[in-house]
This record gives sequence, structure tokens and C-alpha cells, in this order.
Amino acid sequence: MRGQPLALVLMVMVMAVLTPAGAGARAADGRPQRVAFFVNGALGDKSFFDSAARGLRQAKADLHLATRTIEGGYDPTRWESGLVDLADSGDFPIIVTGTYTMGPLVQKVAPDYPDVTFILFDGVVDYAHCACHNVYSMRFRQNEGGYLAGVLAAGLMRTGAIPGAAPGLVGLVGAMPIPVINDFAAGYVAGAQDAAPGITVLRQFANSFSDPAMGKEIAKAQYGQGAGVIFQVAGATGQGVIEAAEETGRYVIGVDSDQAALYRVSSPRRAARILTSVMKNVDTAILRALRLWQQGRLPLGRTESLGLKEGAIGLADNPDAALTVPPAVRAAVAAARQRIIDGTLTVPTAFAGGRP
Amino acid sequence: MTEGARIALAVGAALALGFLVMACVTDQPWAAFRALVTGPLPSMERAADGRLVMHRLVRFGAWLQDATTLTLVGLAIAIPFRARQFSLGADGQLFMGALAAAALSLGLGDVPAAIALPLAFLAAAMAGAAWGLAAGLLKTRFEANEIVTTLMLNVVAVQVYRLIVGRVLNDPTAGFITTPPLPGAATLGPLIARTNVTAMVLVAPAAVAAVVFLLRRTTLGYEIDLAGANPWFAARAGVPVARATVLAFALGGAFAGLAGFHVSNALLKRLPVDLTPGMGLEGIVVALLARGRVAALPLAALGYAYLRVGAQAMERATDVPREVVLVIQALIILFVVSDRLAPLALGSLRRVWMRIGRTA
Repeated sequence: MRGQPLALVLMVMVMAVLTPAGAGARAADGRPQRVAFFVNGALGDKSFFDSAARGLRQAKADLHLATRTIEGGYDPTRWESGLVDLADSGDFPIIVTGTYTMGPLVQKVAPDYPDVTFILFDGVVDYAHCACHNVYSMRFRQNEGGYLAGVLAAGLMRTGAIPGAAPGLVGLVGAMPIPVINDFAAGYVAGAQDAAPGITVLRQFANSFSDPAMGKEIAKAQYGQGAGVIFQVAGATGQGVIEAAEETGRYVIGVDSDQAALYRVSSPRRAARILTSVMKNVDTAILRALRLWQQGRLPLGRTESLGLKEGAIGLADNPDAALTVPPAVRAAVAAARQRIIDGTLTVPTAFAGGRP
Repeated sequence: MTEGARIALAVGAALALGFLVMACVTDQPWAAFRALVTGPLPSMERAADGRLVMHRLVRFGAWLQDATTLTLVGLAIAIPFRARQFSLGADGQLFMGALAAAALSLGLGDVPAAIALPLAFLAAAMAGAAWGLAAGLLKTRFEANEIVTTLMLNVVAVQVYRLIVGRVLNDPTAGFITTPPLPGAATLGPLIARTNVTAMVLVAPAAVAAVVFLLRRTTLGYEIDLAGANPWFAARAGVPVARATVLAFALGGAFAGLAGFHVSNALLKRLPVDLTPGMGLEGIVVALLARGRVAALPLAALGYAYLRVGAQAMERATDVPREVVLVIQALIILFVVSDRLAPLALGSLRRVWMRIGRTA
């Protein structure tokens, strides 16, 4: 394993040498352009923020950008000054930040710094009430991923393949009842109902994105009630749900990143409990946005909606758990996916106005 | 050794150690060190037309904002400590103060600032005081240990806060769980552009001056001190010890409540449900740094806030990871509050020196 990062570094170095001078993003003085990623929390959640950070790392390698990640911590009183300071420093022509919490702050700060480009992922600014010509925002149709998770979980329960679990019961552990999480949940419930009409979805919130202990407690309660599969949509809190799945021998569906892949080396037993993960490919979305920006084609001043069709949402393949999922269930998931992409199936959303 | 020299020595030693840590984790330790030490200061530059232009006022602002909150929560710890009560309740009092101020601001709606601001200010102080009073009464009436009660009251306050922000004051259009933005009349305007430095930056030292006056020049202040120094003697001397203790708690709570007002009506201008607990506990650090002396609180708060903002600047300007930043921050605090460390180090140095002298 140790050789792999080294090989990667060598590869990048070779690529850097082979790339002719002047290619890629270079400022006028020939130095790579600097991108700042402001995290309103901390990295290490193995989920949402880590996925975004991966996108930035990829951008560094592929687009020859100099990236810097700044962890703002969990104290909201320090986020605004942190964001303004980045814009004010003049060091970064482009700032990447995410979540609906940061939306109003970007909206407040962006008009003051028209020369700085803001990429806001999984959040929006109100373009009607803000001179945000320098903000590009991305929303994700996570309800589509949630739907597939619901079809998978309910389908699996119907086959009765999980010993000790009640067949008519699946679980969901959310971080907080905010629209993004509710949107995942709305899709999940709809998917479960369509796959197994009348199924009960246990749903509980931990009220925190950073409390794995609480996540574990809730998950154990749901497994105890007979849930065979829990879909966790809870950031770092979800790590506790995955632990609970390992301890009880039940199953969990991860979120945001391919969480089975993250645990495969450190904890294979845990990885085997993760049926799949609803990937919200924040990383590729950010990479795409940065590439467009580099080419001068980033559609600033508007919001883009990304989902299954754009490849921004998807289910991860976990070979460790593949045997658990019968082919019939797998086919049902694939069919649902195709119908959503074709537009023949509209998944209910938690966002007002019907579209995220 | 004088106090100033001792602190200077401790800070110097801590910075040297911090530099060593930085040298281990980054190839640009000097840049990191400079960011830590000068980060919170604004920089002056002469523009093309010869005018002086201030840069980085945002960080300077962040320093003052942080110091304001820290001074107020420091008071919430230091005042009960005068009565020898270890209150850990600043967190809960802060949450209650913020909640009261925000709820009142939202409830009043469209009224002039001259009405909204003083009322919200008072509501925050009273809510904080009430929460402090509860801990004080539990102590004096029921002899409940104040460390336990204040910690438990924190839990209650935070959960009440989450319940009310999440269920009652929630703004369903926001995209995250938060109250609607407070009406403009109820919020304080910035004194420095693009920051949230408001009139509260003047309120904090004024509060400290008022408390110093209270403790030194009034009967109540004397009673609080006496109740703390020797409650048995104080009771014999006819001092109402219980009343003084309860009032010390309530008074401290009032200032934590004002810190809550600062958070809700000056810094955030709305309250998110996941406001992090722990700001109140930072007050303990400040009170320790000030060695329980109320008059030294603003200085301690400025010092600690400088360190926090400098650490952030270091994280922003270099590749030193956040964890190391936090370690260095903790090291500096550790050195400064370690009373005997400096004399001990000097003493052992002297002994070594003498031994060398003897063997030579």
C-alpha cells in the first residue's frame, strides 16, 4: 500500500514535467493559480467534506492548481470572518465552499469582492436579491440517490435474506431535519414504498453532523426494533451507524462518499456491512466546475442542478457486500435508475417548488 | 520575579516550543511562525496615490470580536470564583441569553432600534442571570455541588435552545435549521467595515470596569469577597453569605447572557440550531489566564483571542495542519497558566549552574 501514494506522486511529477510551460492555469507570473476551500466544519467525516477535499486534490493534480483547504471548525461565529478573510487576502482568485449554511454568508460577502470567484456546492444564493455575478452554485438531486437506496433496502428486506430482522422494517438515521437530509429521506421512503408497499421506515435524527456516539445509539435502537438495513445520512455522525451495523451484524447504506472503500483497508469487517453508498459526487462536481472555470466557461451567476443523469449522484459498488444483494433486487435498482434518468419516474423531493 | 516578566518568559518559551513543533511538520516554519505572531494585526500599505491603506482589517476585527465574547464569559467565571464557587455554567447562560435576545428581537418585529436593542440587551442579561441564579439557589438552599449543577444546567439550556430554535423559531425557507434573520433594528451595526465589530466591543471593558467597582467599592462586592475568603467567619460577622453567593452566580450569569446577546445580535444576526457549546468553557481559560483578577480579564481575553486568531491565520497562510495549530495553541495556554513552571525552570537552571561551578 505504501508504494501507491509514492507512485502517484511520481506520476504527477512526470506529468508536471511533460506538460509544456504555459499550459494549464497559470497566473501572469507563471505560478499556478490558487484555490481556497473553506470547510465550515472539519475534515475526516469520511463523507461529505472529505469527498469535497478529494475533488480539490484531484484538481490540484489534473488542473495544476495550487489548492489550500482551510478548516473553519464547528463554531459558526467564526465562519463569516474566516470567509471574508480569504476573500480579503487577495491570495485566492477562487474560493470553494459548501452547504446551505454557507449560502447566506457567500451571498453577503461575494458582492464586496467582485474579482473573486465563488463556487458554492450543495447550497444556493438568492440571485434575485444579490449582485452575485461572481458566484456559481450547484445543487444536487440527492432524492434520486435516496430512492435507489430505498429500493435496495426494501427489496433486500422482502427477500428475507437478513437473519433476525423484521421483514417490514427499514431504518434511516439523519443528521438534522434540514432540507438536504429530508430530500435524501423523501427519496428513500418513496423508493422503499415502491419496492415493498406498506413497509415501515423508522426515521430519527441525531441533531448533529459530528456526533458518532449519538449515531450509534440511534442505530442500535433501530436495529433492535428489527430494522435490517439503515440508510445513514449524517456526515461524521454516520460513522457511529456503521459501527453499530458491524456490532449487530446488520446492514447499512452509506452516504456522500463510497464509505465501504474508505473502510476496506482499516476495517474490512465494517466495510462488509456497507451494502452500498449513495454517492453525492461532490468531488467530481467540484473538479468539473474548476475545469470549466479554468477554461473560462463556468456559468457564473446561476445555479445548476445535478443528479443521476449528470453522474453527480449514484450508488457505489461494494464487492464485499455484493453477495448479500440478490440479483432480482439488483435488477430492480438498475431499472429504477434507468427510469429516473429517462425521466419516466419523478422522485418526490423535500425542497419547496419540487426541484432542488 | 515580576508578573510581567514571568508571563513574557512563559509565552516566549511556549512560542519557542511551538516553533519546534512547526519545524517538524512544515518546510516553511518561519512563515507559519510569522502568521501566528502577526496574523491578527492589520497591515498598512501606501497606495499608488500616497494614501495609507489598511489591509486585513477582517482578522483584526475577528480578534476584537473574539476578545469581546471571551471577556464576557470570563466575567461569568471570575465573579462566582470571587465567592469561591467553581461555576462551569457560562455555556448554558450564554445559550439562554442568546435565545432570549433573539426571541425578543423576532417577537418585537418592526420597532425602532432605540426600543429593540435595549430590550434585547436586557432580556439576554436577565435570562443569563436567571440561569446563574438557579445554580446559586441549588447551591445555597440544597447544598448541591455547583460544578455538577452548572454542568447539568448547561445540558438543559442547550437542549431547550435546540428545541426552541428547531421547533418554534425555525425558518423553513433557510435550507438549514435556524431562526429567521433578526430584524435590522435589533442588530448592531459594524464599527469596522466588513467585520462584526460592534458597540459590544466597548460594552465588554465597561462591564469589567463596573464589576471592578462593584467588588472594590460596594457592600455587596465586599460580601462576595468575604463569603469566598472565609464563609464561616463571614457568617459570624453577620454577612449574608448565602445571598452574596447567589448574587455572585446571578451576576456572572448576566454577563454570560450578554455574551449570548453578542453572538445573536452582533455576530450571527440569527441563531443556528447547531451553535456549538464550548464558548462558555473558553471563559475558564480566560479567567485562569487572568488569575481570577477581574481587572485583568480584558487583557487575558485579548491575549487568548490573539492566539486563536493568529492560529487561524497560520492555518490559512501555511500548510500547518489544524491539529498542530490546536496543539500549539494549547501548549501556549499550558505554559502561561503553569504558575510555578518558570520559577522552577529558573531554579533548576541555577542549581545546574551551581553544580557546574562546584565541580569546576
